[in-house]
Amino acid sequence: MSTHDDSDHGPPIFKAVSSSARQLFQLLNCIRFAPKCQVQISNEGLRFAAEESRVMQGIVFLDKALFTTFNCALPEVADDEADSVADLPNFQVSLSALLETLQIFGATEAPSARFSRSDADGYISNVRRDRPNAFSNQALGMAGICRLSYTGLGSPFGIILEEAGVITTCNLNTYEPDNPEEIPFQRDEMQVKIIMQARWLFDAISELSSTSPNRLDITASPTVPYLSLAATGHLGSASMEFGKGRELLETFSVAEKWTQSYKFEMIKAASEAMRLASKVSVRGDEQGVLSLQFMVEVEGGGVSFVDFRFVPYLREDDEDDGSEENIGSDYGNIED
Amino acid sequence: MPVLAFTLSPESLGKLHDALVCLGKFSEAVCIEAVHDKLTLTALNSSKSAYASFTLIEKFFAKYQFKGTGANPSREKFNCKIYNKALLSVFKGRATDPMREKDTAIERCDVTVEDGEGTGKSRFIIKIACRHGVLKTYRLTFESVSPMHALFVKESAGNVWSISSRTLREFVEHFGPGTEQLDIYFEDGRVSLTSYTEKIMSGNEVLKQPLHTTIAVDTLEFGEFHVEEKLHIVISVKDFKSIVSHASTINTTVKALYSHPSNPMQLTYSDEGLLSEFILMTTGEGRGASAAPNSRANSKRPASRPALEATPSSKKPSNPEMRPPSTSAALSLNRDAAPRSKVSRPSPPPPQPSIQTDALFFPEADDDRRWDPVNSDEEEDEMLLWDAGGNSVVATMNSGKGLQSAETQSQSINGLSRINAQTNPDASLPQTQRLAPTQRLSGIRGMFDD
Amino acid sequence: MRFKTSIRNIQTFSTSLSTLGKVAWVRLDDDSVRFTIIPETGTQVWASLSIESIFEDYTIQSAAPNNTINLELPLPPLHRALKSAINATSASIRLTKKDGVPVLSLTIITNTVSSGNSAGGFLNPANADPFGDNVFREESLDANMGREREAIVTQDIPIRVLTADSVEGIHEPRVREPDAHIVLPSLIQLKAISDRFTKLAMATSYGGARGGASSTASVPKLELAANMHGSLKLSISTDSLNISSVWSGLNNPELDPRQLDGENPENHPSAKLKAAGQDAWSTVRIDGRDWGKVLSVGRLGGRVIACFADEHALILYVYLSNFNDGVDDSVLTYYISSFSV
Repeated sequence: MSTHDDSDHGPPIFKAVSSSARQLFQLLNCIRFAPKCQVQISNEGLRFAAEESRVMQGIVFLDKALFTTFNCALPEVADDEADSVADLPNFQVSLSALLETLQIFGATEAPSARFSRSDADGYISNVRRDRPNAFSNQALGMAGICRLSYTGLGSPFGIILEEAGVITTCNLNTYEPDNPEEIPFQRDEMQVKIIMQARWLFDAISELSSTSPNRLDITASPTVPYLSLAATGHLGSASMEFGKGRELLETFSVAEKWTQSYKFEMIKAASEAMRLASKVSVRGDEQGVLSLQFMVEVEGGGVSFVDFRFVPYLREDDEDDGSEENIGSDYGNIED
Repeated sequence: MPVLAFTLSPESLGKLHDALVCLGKFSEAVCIEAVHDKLTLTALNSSKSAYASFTLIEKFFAKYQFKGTGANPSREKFNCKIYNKALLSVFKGRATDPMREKDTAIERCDVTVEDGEGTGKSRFIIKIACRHGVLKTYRLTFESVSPMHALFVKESAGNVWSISSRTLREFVEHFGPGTEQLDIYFEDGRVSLTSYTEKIMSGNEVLKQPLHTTIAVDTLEFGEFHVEEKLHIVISVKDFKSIVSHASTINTTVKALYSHPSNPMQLTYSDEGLLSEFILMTTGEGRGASAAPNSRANSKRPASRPALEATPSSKKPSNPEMRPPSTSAALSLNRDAAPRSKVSRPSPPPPQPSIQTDALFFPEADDDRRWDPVNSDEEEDEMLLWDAGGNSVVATMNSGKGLQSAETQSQSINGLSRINAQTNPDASLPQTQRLAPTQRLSGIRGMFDD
Repeated sequence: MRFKTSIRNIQTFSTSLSTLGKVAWVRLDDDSVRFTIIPETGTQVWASLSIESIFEDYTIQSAAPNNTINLELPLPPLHRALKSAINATSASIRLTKKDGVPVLSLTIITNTVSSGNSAGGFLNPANADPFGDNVFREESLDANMGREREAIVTQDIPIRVLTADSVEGIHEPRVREPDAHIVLPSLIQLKAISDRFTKLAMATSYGGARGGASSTASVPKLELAANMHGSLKLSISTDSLNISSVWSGLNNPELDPRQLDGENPENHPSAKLKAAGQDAWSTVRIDGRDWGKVLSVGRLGGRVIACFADEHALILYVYLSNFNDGVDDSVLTYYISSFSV
């Protein structure tokens, strides 16, 4: 079977080359909570969106600056911007397949602690002396060259990776787009905006996950403890308080006390972004929609952004009769 | 109103974590007993054949204050029982985690215990202050239960040896997985440690017999050594491994004291401010028996590992220092249950060493794992035979386990695989029942062994 | 029946085999040692090792011709037992009976930590540095001290002694002349990519393709192909993608004319495939998981030649010439059947 022959789909309308498959992997890995993602190609870059049950959304934007070459020959469209967005190439691919492909040469294993352990079973030394490097993952090459291409509706999303004399060609089947509406975040009704180090959020969430909670309560208040994350599990409860607000929180704009609850597992799904990013902007609007914007510093300078939005649990003191667990209904109440 | 308050340094926190990991190998619950000058953590295994305790004296803490509830705190006691899993998740191995950056490191850890008896407000509260200013607060629920303390009468233990914990670890590393017993034997200036299993197998089954390992060393390896010659003393190899894996994290000397088979063996060692004591039930040949430990003919008898004598320490004794009365009571109880004889009593089969246990000893195992099959962890149960029908391809095909394997592994590394096993801990039983000998459990053995 | 020998270098060997099966049939005789693994499904291994490559001071004696002894040996305990020998000063193995049960008894002499020098294991070539500290190993003034601070470890591996009759009917598989033969690239790279493909296929057929025609609930089949112009191709197709990796510039070794039974080399299937050009491939379909296990043999560092019989079988010859310098007649043969489309 001939799998690496893209001639049957005509000339590509999109072609891009990245010098680091690892970098693309790391960014896309932040939204791996969903099996599939929406891809949208524009002259500015590639937008990957994943969502779950309409209550959680993760978006990675790969700016064209991340690529060494980026050619996008989009069909001519009218100047009207709204129309042009609708006409941009738009499709779904399997996110897990995309991620596996990008790490075909071992992108993620490099810093793994597993291989840094001492060779207690003495095996390393029995191996050919002239090939010691075969056992470090670096030998497999992390920063492989990666070519992306797309020919148009119905054609596959092509990825070609080159590494140490091996050429890997992957054609990801593309599916009809399923464009869910974005979870609306009301910027003009914003009640909370906090910018902080992302790894502190990561640390707090991993700490709380040890109690295996269902629900995460986030409270922001203009006074001590400023920001608090709390969770209750069957073994007890735990809370993380960022009491030294001024030193910990780079930007802190909270007018009055704001408390919302979210499904813990959803927030935890953003852990990878928390781990990878340098900073996070935590924002909350009047409806309780939580926006987490992660700033990721990419190799070789520059930044990329990964965005998450979460719909809160319906609050008990709200008017509706919806149960606390009914996370979907709240979304319906939001006026767009 | 806290009954107890103490503060731990980051270093002590790490040591507490190690102790909890060790206790977790004996029981999923930890009993905590506080008096005015020390805190004791204990665990008794379900078959009551092994008891582990760690005593933390004042020196271990940055601050230690036992307030009690009465007028005379120095004579009071506070007891509680907490799921080890809950404690471990709070005191997890932070100090050793290189992923955590300096500014999230722990600055201080304050623990307070509020004993609102009957008010439902009993809480074990841990506050951890991190260097970057985040305050982490955990509130754990606990049960007020008097712990069981296994009894050991030093005076009657004529056999004694002591050895470096590191040397012991080196010995233990030779033991393969799957064995149940450890026989300790001394003859002609050499000590042998034999790890074996008494299962009798035939035909193809023999290939499933675990490795039979003997380590013979000179008594010079030991510091102190006064042991009766030709005495076989047998303990559970799993318990021994659990102890050694903790002891070897500190450079210390492990001291063993014992008398004769069917009487308990005590293993002790200490670190700064921390005293470890383990009491294990023994089996083995009677005094002067000449049979070799590896004689399978002799080992056809089922392993007999009676329960330890244990005494509940009452919650608020009028005089906690006075032990002798309860000691003798427990002794007589024990005698009632098992007249002094060498006759083997049925007892629950010693717990099978788990995979986790094994992993502890070979954590670095397979640095070259990348060569291994992707799903190698699925194959533990594969038959050891030519006609290995067990590894049904269909089963593995459906599962997609390849993806989950990493996750599964990490779960088992946490060593918390039995979270749900005991929602109703036996501690809640009346104490008289807890003292019952193990005959009661022998029925269970029948189900699995026949 | 007697078998006794000192051992060397056998540990990594046993590790590689134990990934494929739990039990090996071991045939020992005057000339060689043969390990055979025949699992119910999956790859067969026939490993023939020169005695010198893994043993020394080898003694064997039995009533059978050529002093042959056949054993059934569980590999994981063997591997585990040999682990004890890694830092040992000596290790020997013998066939014996303990309490009426036949065992392979491994006796290992090792220094204990307290007596120092535990690092200089003889099975550990890295430590055989002629300029290393062990050359002039310092000894205690009290000569007895040094000798006595050692531990003697005995590891008894349960075995079954097989009668000649019971193994008589087991023969090495016969496969037709291959269409392509090629030296495989770095096995660690090949394994990494193969495992990733297998994982990819599993991931995308279970989570990815919602409502897609569910392909057979089976372990993914990798397609491996070679041409006679130095290329090897590994590929897989699933509901959500197709992917292939191609190695080029590999070596297609010349056939040894002696093995052609006087046939004209030009009539050999591989010559025909070569003549058909770069786009002519010989292809087999193999079980991804099984293949991953086979590739574990890479830890031995041998040279591997793959022979493809199109749509039929794949045979790997692993030459352990570097397993022990100067001895090159150890070869592991892996027989892998191709699945039909």
